[in-house]
Amino acid sequence: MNLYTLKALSKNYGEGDSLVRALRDVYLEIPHGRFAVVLGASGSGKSTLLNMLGCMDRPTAGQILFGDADITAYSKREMTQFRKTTIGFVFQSYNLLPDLNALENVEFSTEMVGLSPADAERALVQVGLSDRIKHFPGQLSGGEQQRVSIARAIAKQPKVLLCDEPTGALDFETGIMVLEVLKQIHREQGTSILFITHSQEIAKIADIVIRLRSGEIMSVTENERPLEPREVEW
Amino acid sequence: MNKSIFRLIFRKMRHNLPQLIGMTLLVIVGAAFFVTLYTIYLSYDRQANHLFETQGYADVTYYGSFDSDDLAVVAQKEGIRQARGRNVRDIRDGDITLRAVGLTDDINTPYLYEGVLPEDSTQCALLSKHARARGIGLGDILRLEGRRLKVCGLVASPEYVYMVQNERAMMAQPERFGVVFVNESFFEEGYGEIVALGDIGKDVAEDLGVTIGAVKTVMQSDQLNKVLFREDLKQIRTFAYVFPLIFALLIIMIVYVMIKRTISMEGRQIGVYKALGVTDARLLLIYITQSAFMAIVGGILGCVVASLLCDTIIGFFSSMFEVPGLAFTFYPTLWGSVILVCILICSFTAIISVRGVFMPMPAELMRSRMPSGGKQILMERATFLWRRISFNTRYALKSTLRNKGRFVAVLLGMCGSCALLTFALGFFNSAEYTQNSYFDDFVHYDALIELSPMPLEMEHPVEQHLDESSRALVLPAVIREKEYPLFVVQDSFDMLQIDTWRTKDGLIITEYLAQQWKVSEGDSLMIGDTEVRVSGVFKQSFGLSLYTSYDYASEVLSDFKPFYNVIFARDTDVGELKTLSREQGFEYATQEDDKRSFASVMESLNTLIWFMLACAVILGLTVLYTVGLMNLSAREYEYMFMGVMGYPIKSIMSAHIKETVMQLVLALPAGFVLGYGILNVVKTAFSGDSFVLSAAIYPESYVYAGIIVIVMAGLIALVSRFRIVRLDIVEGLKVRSE
Repeated sequence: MNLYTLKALSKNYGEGDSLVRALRDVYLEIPHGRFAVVLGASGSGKSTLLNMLGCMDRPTAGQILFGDADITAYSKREMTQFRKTTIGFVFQSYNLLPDLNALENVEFSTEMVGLSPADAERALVQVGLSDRIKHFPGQLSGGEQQRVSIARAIAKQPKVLLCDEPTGALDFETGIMVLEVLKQIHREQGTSILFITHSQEIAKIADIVIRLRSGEIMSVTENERPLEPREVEW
Repeated sequence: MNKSIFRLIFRKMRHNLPQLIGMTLLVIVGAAFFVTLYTIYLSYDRQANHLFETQGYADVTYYGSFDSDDLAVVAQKEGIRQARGRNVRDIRDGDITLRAVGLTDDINTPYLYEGVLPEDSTQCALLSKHARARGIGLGDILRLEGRRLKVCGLVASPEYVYMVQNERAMMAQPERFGVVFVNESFFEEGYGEIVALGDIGKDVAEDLGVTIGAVKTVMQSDQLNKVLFREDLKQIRTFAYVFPLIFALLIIMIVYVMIKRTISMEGRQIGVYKALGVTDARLLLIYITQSAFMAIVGGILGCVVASLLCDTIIGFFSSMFEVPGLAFTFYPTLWGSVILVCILICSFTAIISVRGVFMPMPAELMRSRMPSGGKQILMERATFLWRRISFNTRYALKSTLRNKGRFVAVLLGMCGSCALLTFALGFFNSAEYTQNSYFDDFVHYDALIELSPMPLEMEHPVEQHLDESSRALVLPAVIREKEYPLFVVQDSFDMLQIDTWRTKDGLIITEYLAQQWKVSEGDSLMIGDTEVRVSGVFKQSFGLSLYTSYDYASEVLSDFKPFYNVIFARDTDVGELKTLSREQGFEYATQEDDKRSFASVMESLNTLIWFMLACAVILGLTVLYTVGLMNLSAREYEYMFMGVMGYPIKSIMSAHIKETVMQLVLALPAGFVLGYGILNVVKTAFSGDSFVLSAAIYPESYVYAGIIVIVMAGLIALVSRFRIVRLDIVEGLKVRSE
């Protein structure tokens, strides 16, 4: 059984003359336990696709099956529950809560699913931030903030990590560090990862590369030998 | 979950702290105002009723001339538990009138503050208010009609919660009027009054009065003392509600604008909460807890402030009435209700403000917002004019109207503050206007002399000493179960500003009574069983009475005799009246006496008015400061950017001040109108069967209210300038707030 099965998925914004068709009749299967990259230029519909997969938005038409559950038929409450227990999000702009320190940001997520503060701390150790747990987002560098964001996403042990250009706002070295963390999590915990990027180079680290253009799937390819983050350059 | 959520909530409070403090201050003042007055209202009600009960305030009082047989008839009447006969006599000595009241066991018993009640005819107990005013203490000697009485007790009385001397002097000055309780042996044989306790209906009591030949039968609830007590309670309660209602409206406005603004700024963060799986209920909790928490803090502090203020305000009220044991009382239910209402108001407003974030999906909230589209304002269409004004003014004009919520908030703040100031100042004016219109325009006599009834054809000796006088007969007229003084006047009567000619074929009544009875000119009224015609309606603000002519009274009233019992006198030597009253044994009251009595009533209200004025200023400053801060923080980025572009602080301030001026131009007239409206509503609560307040606001009050609001707006502009000067351009540009 696939992790995700997308059937005739479409998403439109606006109406009339200002209608934007962000996703057009997308059919896609994403297997379990893979590191998949969704590759496309700006405006190709990558983030829209991610939003649909993470129950962050509703499609205009079509169906998304998560396993055999039709998440497009979920009620608002079920969608919230799905996001809370099943999905971990990593955003390009980190989106940490500025009023909470690193540990508290992670705890905010773990408490919701009934995990202990120790789980939050363990996640921060895993992303290499054990010495920065009491720091507030404003006191952390971009890379550190993104690692807190990853810790927040993985601490609740989600089935899927949805990453929306997590290296987009980072310099090369920091970006590599973030990719390594994600790779490590994928490897050690077997978490499925969907990673959005516009970088052909970053796509080389994935198991599967899904190419998107103007809201349509252009190709789905498998990398025979996914590269390690240190092997790519952009 | 709870730990993180609450940690987040309280840390977020720091961002809104100035607004939250402003809101809390409003809650404190509103709650304190309400709890103070309501506590006084409850305490007053409870203590006075306790006094009435424990001291045996007579359920019915008969006035006339009675003997022991009459007393026995009353005592034996079914429903009457106890009855006593007594005498009451006013003894005037110069400016001072002392009312000697015979002591009656268990009925109308004075409440002893100090000493003992008199045991023989050489002792007396004195109303403590009068004793204090004249510096009389225990053991001092009072001279009454040549007799020396030793003051053995200082007392309060259920009959004199108010210093009611008579219907005109409802609140006599304590240094000029006092009550002396004496042993019944002070008086001659017989009784002038019978007082009784019991469960007896008004009709039965009146029938009994007829049986014993009483001139007048008055139930406890109709005693002027009790009527004033009820009216005062009503007034205090009205005041308790008026201000807090306005405060509540402003709190709602501040919470609404504050949360709307926070939500607008935190749209992306709300999207993140949702993305992380935060439910709508938790989301609601994040945004309402701040307001609810501050409402609890404000409500509790308001109650605490009230507990500190109560005794002081009660102290001021004690010049108005005397109720022993009246002091601050803790009413847990009142406190709980007030705190609960504060929480409900703030939370409900927060829910209304925050409801817009529930529907959108997280992705929608997290998307970057498009800049809001600029709109042309009406004035821009007048291109000829628009082109002629400076960029700075154009910017100020457009900025004023850019955010409707903030615009309305500032307007409401200024308008509310102006309205409360106008109302409070207008209340002073109304008291003065009412007094002036009554004494300067309505009353044309200098003294009113009260006599025993005499036939019209007989001349009273005092008339020989009066330059101008006019006779009248005052009768009690029972209309709809209440008694009103009916003045029967002669055709030439010109001592009051009434249309005397209208009395020829009916009764003329005051506008207030006409409204109460829903009658107008030409309608009929029932005085007892007699139908009378209303021949005119006129305005009278004090001592509401009815007027008719001797001819009409003879025509419609059965057993009417053309007598007179009052003489209105003009251009009279008041000093001479003093001597004559002693010699000829009559009572009189001068216009000055009445004026002083009225002034005493209004003086007691001044405490409330000053309290209101202080609250209006606090309210104005708080609202303007809070909304000003919100406005400023919303515009900080813009101002910083203007700074980056080289726009001088002076020009930024100039635009800021122009905005304030435009808001003032709109808010002040609305505030004046609202203030007048509130005054008109409140004046109704201040009007009763004995006194009607006329709403009047003098032009200078509008000017003062306007100036105070302008000064407050100026102070806030200064604070804004301070903040604008301190804006850090580099730091500010890092974060786009709005």
